[in-house]
Amino acid sequence: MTAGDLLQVRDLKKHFSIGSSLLKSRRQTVHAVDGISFDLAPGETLGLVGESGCGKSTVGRLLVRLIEPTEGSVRFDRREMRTLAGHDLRAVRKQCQFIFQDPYGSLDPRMRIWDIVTEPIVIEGTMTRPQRRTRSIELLEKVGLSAAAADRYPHEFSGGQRQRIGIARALALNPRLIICDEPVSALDVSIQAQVINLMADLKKELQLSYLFISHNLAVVRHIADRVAVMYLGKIVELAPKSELYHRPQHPYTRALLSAVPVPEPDQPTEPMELHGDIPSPINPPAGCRFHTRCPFAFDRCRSEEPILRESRAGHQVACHLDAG
Amino acid sequence: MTAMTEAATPMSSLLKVRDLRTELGKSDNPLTVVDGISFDIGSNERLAVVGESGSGKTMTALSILRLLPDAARISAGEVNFNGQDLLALSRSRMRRMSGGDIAMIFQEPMSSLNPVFTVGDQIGEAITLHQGLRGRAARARAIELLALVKVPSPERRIDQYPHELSGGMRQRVMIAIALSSQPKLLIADEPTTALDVTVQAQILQLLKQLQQEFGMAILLITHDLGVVAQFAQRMIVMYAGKIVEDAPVSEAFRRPMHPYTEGLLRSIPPLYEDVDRLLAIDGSVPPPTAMPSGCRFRTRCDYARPPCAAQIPPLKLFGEGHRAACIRHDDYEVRRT
Repeated sequence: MTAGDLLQVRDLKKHFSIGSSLLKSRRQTVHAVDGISFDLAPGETLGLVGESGCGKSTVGRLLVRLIEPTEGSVRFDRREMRTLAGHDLRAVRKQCQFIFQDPYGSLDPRMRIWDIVTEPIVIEGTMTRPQRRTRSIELLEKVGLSAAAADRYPHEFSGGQRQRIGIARALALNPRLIICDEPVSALDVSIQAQVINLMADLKKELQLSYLFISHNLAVVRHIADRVAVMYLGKIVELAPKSELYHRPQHPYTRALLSAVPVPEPDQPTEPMELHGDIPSPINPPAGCRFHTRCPFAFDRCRSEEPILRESRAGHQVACHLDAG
Repeated sequence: MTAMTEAATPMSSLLKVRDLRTELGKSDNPLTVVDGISFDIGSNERLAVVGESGSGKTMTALSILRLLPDAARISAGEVNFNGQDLLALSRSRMRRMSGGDIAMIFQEPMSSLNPVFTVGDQIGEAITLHQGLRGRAARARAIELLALVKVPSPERRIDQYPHELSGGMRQRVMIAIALSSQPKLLIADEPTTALDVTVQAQILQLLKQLQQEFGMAILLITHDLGVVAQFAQRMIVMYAGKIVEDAPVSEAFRRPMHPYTEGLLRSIPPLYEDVDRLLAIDGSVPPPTAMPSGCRFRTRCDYARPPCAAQIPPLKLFGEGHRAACIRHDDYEVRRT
């Protein structure tokens, strides 16, 4: 960790126990997040990509202890999250806010916009009602909405506008880190571009750090400084974005990139063939978790788990292939 | 019926839609969700219908199949399939047609499959209905169909329930059911939107291959221009219930004639290039209750000028099979001559 890092995550794990049903009396464990490590600098955006079930959303929730980690360490501004409680924990959480995917489900339909946006301040109890009102208008204007929005209700807004409201609420307590979980996935492409541009502007203006969780590789490339690729609870590759997109090293990253349908009719994509489906995180494969689908797998991949190591400056990859 | 004469007709049309209008809600104060659209699909063509939510693309598909929800109805127009007027067919004839010569697959395969029946039961039902096969013969055919859609070990999968399959496998099962009637037209409404990108690539590849093998037509509804570029031969762009552009895909991507198409193409973040800013389209689609006069896109359009408010621009031909509804090009033609 360099002295200036905002977030330091080490060997973070989350195992969920799933229940004994009538027929299966044995308890099973889902290895949702299984030992991941990364750092995040102030003002930096880390993209976290992967397919459904890879654990990327769980990572976001673990960082602020919305769910408790099974193991591992999360340090925010050099303070170990695990040891914090009560007032101290709240003080740290204040600096980490969330933006969610579903702009419809994440706003209370019975609250006025200005109450929604300043609800975090109410909980803090630091402002009077008129102060809150002023602050709400400031926040709405910051995200490109007019002051007239303040007294309206969520149903009066389109998806893109609702996502702006969600962003305004996330900004209410002047956070340093925003965890964005698929923030533009539910939006149409023209609106998606508006929201991404807004997020990029806010990041610059407010020196924010983002953990940007998404399955959309093109969107992540646009907003992130570095990108981490997850597969079955593990980070398999982490690199500065242009490195990752132009010199992907892990076969899974290459497969993901090759499968993206590029909007160029005369440039047919040639998706790399993967074997079968993603295995269950209940019994992840031994050795490299990707070996069951990897076209390049050899004996070592089936028995020995590759560790994430630096293959060139700033570019980490967990694969036996180029390890020699 | 001016639009009819302007329709860019492919060599042999399997489906002809003319001035189709679909309304929603009370008949004395209806919302028009599909507003007088005309287009054709060739008998061996992959056509994509593109648009954002609320553009009317799904309503168009449901109108063709006469599967509209109760609150909606077709108020005008013609849908001609293979020489037959679908809107004039009796309910029972139409029921045989949809799921027969015209089949449809949806975005969410889990909600289209019945969770309490095995995969084999559900494919078998379709086979019995369309091919009259029963018992062992139906089962054998179902296994064949599963193999055709590349479900691994179909003999085993046939006895599994939908929840035992991954999303991609379920969509393959839906495709198998759709193919059981050997349709001439497959309507696919966002078939890969709920799937991961690696699985999406496989399903699109499969659909393309089946389309070529069986010589069917596919009408693909999508919001993803990457999918359009990789899959379709021709695309129709819809905005607020109207077709604003209809062109061969490579032509539309290279030379979009409607500002909305242009805007959509510009808002896609590039995968292998750094750009400073994405070029978004300002504002959002107006609700059907508050449509602007004239061109419906003018409130979001960079090129809008006063004449755009005066009348709804008709679709005009701009070249071989390329139609667009924008008056800004009138000036260009004048300037050129």
